[in-house]
Amino acid sequence: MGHNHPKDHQKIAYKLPLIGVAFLFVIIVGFVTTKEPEHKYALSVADMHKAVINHKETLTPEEAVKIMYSNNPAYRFVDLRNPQDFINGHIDGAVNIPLQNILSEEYQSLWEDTAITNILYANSHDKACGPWMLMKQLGHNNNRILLGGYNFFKNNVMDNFTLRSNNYQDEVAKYDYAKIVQETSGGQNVSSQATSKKAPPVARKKKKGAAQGGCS
Amino acid sequence: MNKKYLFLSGLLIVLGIIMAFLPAKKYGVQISPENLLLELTDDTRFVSTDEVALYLIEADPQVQLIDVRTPEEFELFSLPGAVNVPMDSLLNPNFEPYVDQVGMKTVLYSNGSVYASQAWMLYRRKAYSNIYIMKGGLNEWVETILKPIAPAATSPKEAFDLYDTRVAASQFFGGGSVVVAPNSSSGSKPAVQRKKKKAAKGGC
Repeated sequence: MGHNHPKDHQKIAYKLPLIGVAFLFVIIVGFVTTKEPEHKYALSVADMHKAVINHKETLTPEEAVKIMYSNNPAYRFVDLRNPQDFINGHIDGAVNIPLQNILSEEYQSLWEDTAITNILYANSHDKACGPWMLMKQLGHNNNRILLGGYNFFKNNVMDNFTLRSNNYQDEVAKYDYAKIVQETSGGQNVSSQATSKKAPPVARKKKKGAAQGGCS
Repeated sequence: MNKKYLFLSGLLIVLGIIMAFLPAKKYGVQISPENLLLELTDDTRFVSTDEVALYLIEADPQVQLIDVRTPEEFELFSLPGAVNVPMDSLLNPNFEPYVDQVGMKTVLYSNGSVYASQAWMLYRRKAYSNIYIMKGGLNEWVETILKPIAPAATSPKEAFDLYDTRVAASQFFGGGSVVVAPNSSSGSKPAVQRKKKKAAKGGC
């Protein structure tokens, strides 16, 4: 054993440069063949955050109506819902790009075409937010979000235009939360609750009065 | 023999130097756009107001609610145990530890769903895990939990079960309506009846 040891050692030492070169080769091959990712973020998280706070890249339903009826060639409606929903009804002139396909090569030219502004819409405002942010972060700046989303646009703008047609802002607090909690809370102060609960019937009586008046 | 060892170590040092000058990744750990889109296409990022109510009633220690509205709105009303991280300080290093807690389920909410969705997008790109959105926000919270609407008489049993749960939850969050419940219901019923009678009169 003691005699063989130096010989083995020498054998290994003889092969070392070979191993070293093979090692280097593998690493170089690795670097050369690494694929560049197809989609790369062009915006940092902090920059995206700034863009989000600005709330600028949106489009109100009023503006959308004007664009829809004037067939303004500078805009293009992009429907992000699935094909079934699209077939069932969509804004005139819209292009259907189902959400899961927005990164596919098929539509790259559409996103890169800076001459036309895309108006993104889904069923609701918030569902178009994610896709818009994704495209923005990939460097596509010519997109706007339709405020209120398709459901709002369909019900309150396309079908019948009413006073409610201005309530497209999703983030407006519809209720005075603190007041409602106060109303429904505090079993101890029953009296205050009783007064607050008596209020709605008064309003109802008024309505009844109006109905009676109409009759006579 | 020594030379061969020298050659090898020299090689490794050269490789190390090359590595040191390679361009660093630009933005740290991130989720790729493709994966982010994949998460956008399903609705697993949403939790319903009923689920949030359940977390709060059970005082689930593994749930952290994050309120992304303004401090003024937060001051007026917020869900129990929520932490206020306003939209303009989402990436503030003082607040981020609340959002990125290992083993905690983070639920973002705002008045609607838009701000929470935007915050979700930012945090998910930074690969924070277990981030959820309360679907419909506080507006939905009022409509389903604080002031649940009774289902139509023809609704399936599940709808009534859900309604009962919501009424119980509203008693929990509203507090005292537990005690007043019979009063309030008996108080409101006559009002409805009266309305019907008068409507009939109006019709002549």
